Amino acid sequence: MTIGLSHFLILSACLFMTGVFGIFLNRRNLIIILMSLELLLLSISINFVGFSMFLGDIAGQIFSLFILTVAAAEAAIGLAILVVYFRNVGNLNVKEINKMSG
Amino acid sequence: MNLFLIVFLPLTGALIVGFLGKRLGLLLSHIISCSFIVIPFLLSCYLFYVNFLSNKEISLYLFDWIQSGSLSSSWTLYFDTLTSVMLVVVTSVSALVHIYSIGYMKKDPYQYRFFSYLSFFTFAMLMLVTSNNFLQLFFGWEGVGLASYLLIGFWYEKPSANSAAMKAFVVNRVGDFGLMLGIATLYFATGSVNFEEVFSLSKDLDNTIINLSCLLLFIGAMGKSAQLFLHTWLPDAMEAPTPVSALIHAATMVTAGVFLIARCSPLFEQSEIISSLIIFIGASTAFFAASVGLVQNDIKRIIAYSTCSQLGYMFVALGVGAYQIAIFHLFTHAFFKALLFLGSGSVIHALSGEQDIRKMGGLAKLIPFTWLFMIIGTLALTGAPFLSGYYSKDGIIEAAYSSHSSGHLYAFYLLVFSVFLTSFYSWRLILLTFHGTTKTPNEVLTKVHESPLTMTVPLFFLSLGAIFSGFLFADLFMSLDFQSLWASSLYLGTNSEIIDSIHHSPSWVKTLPLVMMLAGLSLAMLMYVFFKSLPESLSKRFSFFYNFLLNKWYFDEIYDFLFVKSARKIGNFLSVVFDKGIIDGFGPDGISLRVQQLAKYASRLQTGFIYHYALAMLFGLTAFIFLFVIFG
Repeated sequence: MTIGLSHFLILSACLFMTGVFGIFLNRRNLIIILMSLELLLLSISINFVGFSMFLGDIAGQIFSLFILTVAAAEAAIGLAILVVYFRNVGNLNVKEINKMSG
Repeated sequence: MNLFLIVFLPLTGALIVGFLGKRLGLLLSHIISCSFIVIPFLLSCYLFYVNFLSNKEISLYLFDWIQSGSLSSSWTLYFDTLTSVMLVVVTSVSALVHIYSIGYMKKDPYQYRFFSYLSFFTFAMLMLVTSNNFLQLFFGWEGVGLASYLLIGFWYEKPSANSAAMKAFVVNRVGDFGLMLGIATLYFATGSVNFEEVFSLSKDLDNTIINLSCLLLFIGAMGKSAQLFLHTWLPDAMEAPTPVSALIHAATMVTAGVFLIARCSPLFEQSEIISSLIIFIGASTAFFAASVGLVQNDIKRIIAYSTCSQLGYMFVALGVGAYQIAIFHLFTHAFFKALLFLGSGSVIHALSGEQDIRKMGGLAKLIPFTWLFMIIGTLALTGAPFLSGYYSKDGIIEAAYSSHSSGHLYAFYLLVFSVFLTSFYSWRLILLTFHGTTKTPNEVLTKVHESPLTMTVPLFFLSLGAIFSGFLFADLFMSLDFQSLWASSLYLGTNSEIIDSIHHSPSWVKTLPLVMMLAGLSLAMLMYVFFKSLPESLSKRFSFFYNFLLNKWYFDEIYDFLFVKSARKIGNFLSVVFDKGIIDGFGPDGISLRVQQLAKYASRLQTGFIYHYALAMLFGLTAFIFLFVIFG
């Protein structure tokens, strides 16, 4: 059995849905949301790589490297924000982050 | 000679004292406001004299006011015999009242305002009597109404003064509305508001239009001159300081209605129905007010009803076509009624504000000058021979007898009976106030003092007027020799037949008023000097009549029931249903309420949870892609 495009896409879709449910069903911790976001980015990366291989175009793989860089930066900034937030509020409970409520 | 000084000096005085009074100080303010009235008085005396000699009208064009299509009106000062008589009345009484007020208002901290209003009133009244067109007259008419409102409510801390001012304003509005419609009718019919043009064009007019406009003008006059049905404001207007009552509510403003009808005599002469209506209303007012005056206990209210009654006399004279005599009575009445008011003011001043005559008595020895002046005023009012009221009032009664208008005998008998009533209530006032044993509490009695010179000197001059104005000027108004003087300003009929017939009225008509006056005097003496228990037992036996008169024929109650309550109901209804229901429900308030509610719903969407927003974004994005793939 050769690994075709559809395998890549199914894997990435599974990862993506895991990330989405991780965001929406998570009621406890902000860090889990951050991790789920990483999952979303990864699934996109896999998509890029899969299509790159399928189309024989190297640009997709280069793009996935860019995404990794951005993901690293995003994780760093996100964690920094969380640290500051934790210092101010004292917890990372998702249910209590509703200061924008109308 | 600059005649416009007569009119505009009082206005200048009002503005200076009103705006700069506090900076100028009390003394200077008094000097300015008084001298700015005294100078016009001297000028109008001179004008009166010149007019008497040369009999010329002077018309002084100032500037245009309204030029709109066919409506054109200018500010013009017009002086003829009628105006010059009115000028003398207004400026003389106003000058004396100004001087009197210096003493009377001595302790009032708001004197500047008072003097400013008084001068403004004088200006508006002068504007009214010197106008040569209806619009300028209307300006003056509203100006005196405003001044009257401001002065009745002068002591605005008192709720009664406020409501009296409001009442005067509202009742006058009824009359003013009639006047306004009358002017509009005349303008509609003739295309002009100028007196001369309207009167000359009116001869070709339809009878119904003449009748209608006369009726409307008469309604205006009724309001201002407190005739029956629109009289209710005048007694309440006694809340004003006494000098105001003397100037506005006795001598000048309330006679504006008489002046209006005299000025429009060429119109009224063409309308027999309305002339008869005037006779009817005038005579009824004279009788009604005199009967109410019998039982009142407030010294100023008695004199107010007396004013109302005397105005009724003037209207009868107007109705029978004896316009000169009406003006003559206006002239003499101004002096003796102002004298009575200022005299009663002096009594009130001496008693530190007491106005109830049941709590007075025996004051003649304590304030002899005031007593003397009040006696003179009463004699003149009741028509004692050779005093002013004798000539003018008897003239009116004889005119009522010898006229041919329908209803003249009704007027004649009512007026003669009113002479009896007048005499009775006037002497009742004198006897209860100045004679008998005093009922004043001791602490007030020890403070009783004769008024200062600023108050007694004007009284002295007014009493001169009350004594001599009839005797000296009777010929000017009533003799056939001088009728040519009036030809330019009043309608005289062919050969002044009414004046002619007065001189031929039977002798019993001439002596009847005198007899009635003596009867009234002796009845008053009987009841208040010899049998002092009589009034009380009479009031108990005829308590129905007594209460009927004491409550002023229940006019206030009837009006309250008919108009005030229903007006309040309509107002309530409109405020609840229309204002709050419709306007606020669907108008600005309703819209803003709706927006608020929507905003509340919309703001509920903003939960503040990031993942809610993200979910919405995800769904949205999915939906867009879905649509794009399927339909794109």
